[in-house]
Amino acid sequence: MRPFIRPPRRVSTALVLLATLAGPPTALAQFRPPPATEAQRMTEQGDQALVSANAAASKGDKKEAEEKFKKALQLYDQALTQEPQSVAAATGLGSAANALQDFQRTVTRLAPVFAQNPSDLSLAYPLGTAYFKLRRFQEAVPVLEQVAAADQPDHLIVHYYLASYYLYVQDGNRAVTRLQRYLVLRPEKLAGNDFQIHELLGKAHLLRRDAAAARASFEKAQAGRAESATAQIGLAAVLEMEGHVPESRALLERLVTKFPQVAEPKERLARLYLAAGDVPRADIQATALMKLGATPAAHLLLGDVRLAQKQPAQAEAEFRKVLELQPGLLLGQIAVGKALQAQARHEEAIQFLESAVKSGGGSLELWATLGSVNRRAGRYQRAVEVHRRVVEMSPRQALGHMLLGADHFATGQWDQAIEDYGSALQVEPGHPGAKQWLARALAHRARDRAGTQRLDDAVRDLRRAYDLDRSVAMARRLGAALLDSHQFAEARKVMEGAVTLPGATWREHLLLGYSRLGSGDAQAALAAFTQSGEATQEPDQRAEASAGAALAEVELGQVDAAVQRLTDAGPSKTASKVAEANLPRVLVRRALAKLEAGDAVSANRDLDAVDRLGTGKRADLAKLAAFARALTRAEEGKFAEASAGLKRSLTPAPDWAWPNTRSLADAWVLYRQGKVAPSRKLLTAAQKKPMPGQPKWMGSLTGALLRREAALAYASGNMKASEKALKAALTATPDDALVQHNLACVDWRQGETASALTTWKRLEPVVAVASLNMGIDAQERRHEPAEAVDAWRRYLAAGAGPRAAQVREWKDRLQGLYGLGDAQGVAPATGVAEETP
Amino acid sequence: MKTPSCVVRWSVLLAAVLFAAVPASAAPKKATLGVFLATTLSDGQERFQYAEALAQKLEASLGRPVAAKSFGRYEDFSKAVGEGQIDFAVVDGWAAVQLGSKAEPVAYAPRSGETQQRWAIISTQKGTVKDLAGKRMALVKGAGPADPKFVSNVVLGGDLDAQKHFKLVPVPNVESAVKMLEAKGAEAALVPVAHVPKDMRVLFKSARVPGAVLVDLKGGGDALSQSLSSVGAVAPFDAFARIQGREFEDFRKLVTQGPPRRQPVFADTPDLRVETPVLVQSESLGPALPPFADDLAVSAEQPDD
Repeated sequence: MRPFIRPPRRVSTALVLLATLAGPPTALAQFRPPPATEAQRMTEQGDQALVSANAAASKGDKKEAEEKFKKALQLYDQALTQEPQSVAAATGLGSAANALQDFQRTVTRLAPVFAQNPSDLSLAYPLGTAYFKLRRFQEAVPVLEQVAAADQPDHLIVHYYLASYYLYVQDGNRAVTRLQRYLVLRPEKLAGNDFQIHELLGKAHLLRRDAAAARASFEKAQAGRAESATAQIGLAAVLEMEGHVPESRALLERLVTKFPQVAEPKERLARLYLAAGDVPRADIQATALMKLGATPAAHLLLGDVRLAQKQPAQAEAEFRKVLELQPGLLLGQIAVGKALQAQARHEEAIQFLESAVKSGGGSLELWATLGSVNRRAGRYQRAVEVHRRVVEMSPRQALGHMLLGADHFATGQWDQAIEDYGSALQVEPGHPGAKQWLARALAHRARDRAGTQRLDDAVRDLRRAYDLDRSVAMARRLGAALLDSHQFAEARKVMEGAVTLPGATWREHLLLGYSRLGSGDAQAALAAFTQSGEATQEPDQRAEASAGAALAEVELGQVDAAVQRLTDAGPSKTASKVAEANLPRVLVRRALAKLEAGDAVSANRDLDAVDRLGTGKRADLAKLAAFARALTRAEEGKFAEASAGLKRSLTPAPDWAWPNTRSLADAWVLYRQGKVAPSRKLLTAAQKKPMPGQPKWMGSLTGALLRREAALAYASGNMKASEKALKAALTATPDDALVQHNLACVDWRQGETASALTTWKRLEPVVAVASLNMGIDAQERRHEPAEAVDAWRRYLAAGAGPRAAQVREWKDRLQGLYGLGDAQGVAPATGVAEETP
Repeated sequence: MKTPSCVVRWSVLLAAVLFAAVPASAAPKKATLGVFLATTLSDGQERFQYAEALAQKLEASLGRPVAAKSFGRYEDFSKAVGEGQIDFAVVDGWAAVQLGSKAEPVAYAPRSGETQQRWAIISTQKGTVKDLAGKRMALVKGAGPADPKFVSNVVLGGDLDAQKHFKLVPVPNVESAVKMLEAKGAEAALVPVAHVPKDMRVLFKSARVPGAVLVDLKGGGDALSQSLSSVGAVAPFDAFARIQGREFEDFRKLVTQGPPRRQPVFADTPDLRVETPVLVQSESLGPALPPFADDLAVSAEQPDD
């Protein structure tokens, strides 16, 4: 993963440089004062010969010029032999030897003199030039920089040399500086060639990844000239850098036809095809390039095409040819290493690159490749060692960190990999590869951490990963970790976003469902589960979605539907597990709901089902089931069992119980048992610290206890106590018709019959027993059997109650005795005789 | 009908006297079964046959000799009881009550599956009970003063005072009551519904009242009770049926004290039910979510350069 290293550009840069170096230097003669010694005399003669030579050269008389240069060289050589420290002789020798391209002589003769006169620019200039021409850049660059710093118009060419070198080593900034200096210093007569400088400037800006400046330079290079292949190629590179790959490809496709003899468009185009995976077209261009000339670049390209065609042996052959043509060429060496490795000849690849490193003095690229080859061969230790070297060589580049990241990633050392990719992003913020692999490494570490119960750390990693990589997969991971750590609101936020991302599946909807469910929005959860089920055809996945929907339905009170769904959980193992984990809970919950409606039979049925299913290891749930069972027993009137069950299920207090649950439940059972006083005592204690949602029910129990107390007192004939309790009940619920009615009963018993009768009359439409009591008043107090019969008939018409049989007997008897109302009392004797023998 | 039944009665008495005169050969001691069913069995011969058949069965079951005595009138029966002649007896429910605490009810003698029967006030005339104010009503005679109580408290349910409303005419049994009515010796008669002649009008029908009852009169209730299972049905009755709980005591109380005065009744308020959130913290009832660890998986893809 090294997107910033573009071998094609490097190759072309190198080739341009080679061309530059092959051309004659534009050197200018220098004037020297006459010598005083023999050596000086010879030097002076040498100078004259040199002037003649330059004059001949400028006239185009190559033969004459060469002759004069040789003469000058001979004179300078003698002078310097006689006077080895003569700066003038050395300077002359350098100029003549350089003109004759005898750079080795220049270096040999000038180096000792320059060592004595390190600040002498007249020596530095020819010596630097000679080093440069000999490609001894390590020695050339400092000397040439010294010359360039003096900014002398005579030494203009030095800026050009340096710029060429900097382009070669891809130091765009220094190249730009030198090229701009060159443009400032160059005499007007050379302005016609500025377009070449602008092209180089364009390339330097490309190295700096400054697309705008590069475009400006290439456009300047192109301005006013017929379409230039090099400028256009530069513009294609700019387009590519700007991300306009199709436009760049279109331009190159035009250039290969317009300039069929120019190599670079073909090479660039082939590289674009390769990057896009269009190997056949790349092959066509590579083959065409080879026809133009079997250059190293052509072989390199063809080798890469062969690699892409999975023909590593043929690729190796091409790369070996590159090295034959240009021994030691870095890219060639790297390519051979890769081709060897592609043939699984790892050891050979490593050995090849190790020796290349030893002989070539370690370029960044080579070290990088060597390390990666080691990694691919499984030698992680060596890979890390070598890649650390890359980081040391170029700490301001992401490359080394990326490579180390890959090494650590390969061995699952997530902490180090994360650190490496983090460093890569520090030096190159926005590096897409670094972002991508940092996110992946974080995801790996999060998975490991989640596996060892470090969910919070996992969540932190995944949050960072999701910031770097806002993909569906990463959102799902983060959502899952948040769900597992019960951060439902956070999970919901993430998953709400995830389902809107392209590529979201049933699974994201499922997770959204669970996070909505966990955060208490069952309605929305049900919608998500439904959508999840609709998003897949797989029976297993649909079963999982259905299990989720069941849980949402429970929360929405659709318990029967949920039980149905969970009972037929479907084919998925996961869905069955969800059902298994939830069915007992749902049944307990439904049992409690049935109890709320007083349906003990159904509650028992559900609790029996829970017993059959078992509650697994969920001790709390088992206790909850036992608790529900105890309440059911009370509802059935089995109070002793109920009390024992409550005690068992609430000692020690389970997590689901409120602190006062025991008191309240016992109070309720005692109330149902009719034990008012002890019930009230427990209720009063529980009321001291009411829990959320309890006060209303506590009020209801208080009222119920008062009503029960009143009924018991009334039954035992204690009218005072009954009246007191009823009045107390009325203060809380003054509109309670039943309590008003019962208070009238007490009034009647205490002699306030008229007011009682008024109350009953008023309440008769809502309280059926009022009719019964009005009948009793009529018969017992006022001896009005007809009125009593009417009242009781109304009572019986209002619906059968527990007293209906008794009241019917009363009514029938009065009717029989007094011949009242319907025919029942005067049934024909025959019928009766037959009915009851 | 009248002559044969009288003959039978006398012959029964004669047989009983003869039987009693025979000295007891040896222990165990002989027991005497009394039968007084003046309102349950309307035929003297039937009563006699029943007494004989039952005595035989009891003898077999108790393993001691049992003699039968059938009575036509309450005063005869009551006298025999008072003299200690009777060990146990099958009597009409109302009569069992009149015997007081010395009679321990042991079992019902059901007929056609019924331990209870309704009573009817019948008349030859159309009308209502109310219309019979001051009129004569034939009533099978028991102890005397207790008889109107049975009518007022049980038959009329306390809603009418029989003694004030009617002139009560005592008769020995239901046949006599019907005859009295037919002979215009009374305007109405009180008889069990089963004995209502077809041509009579039923003016009123009572609630269900216990019918024939087996009572122990000499404290041998337990032994008697235990022997009943092997006695079985003796026509026209079914097998004896144990008296449940205080059922007969309640009846006795009703006869002697009358029904309690009706009092206004409370409207039943619905029972307060539990509310789950009051007792259980709701989050503990929350769903058990599946694990999502598998969603954390990362592909095995490696970075490469």
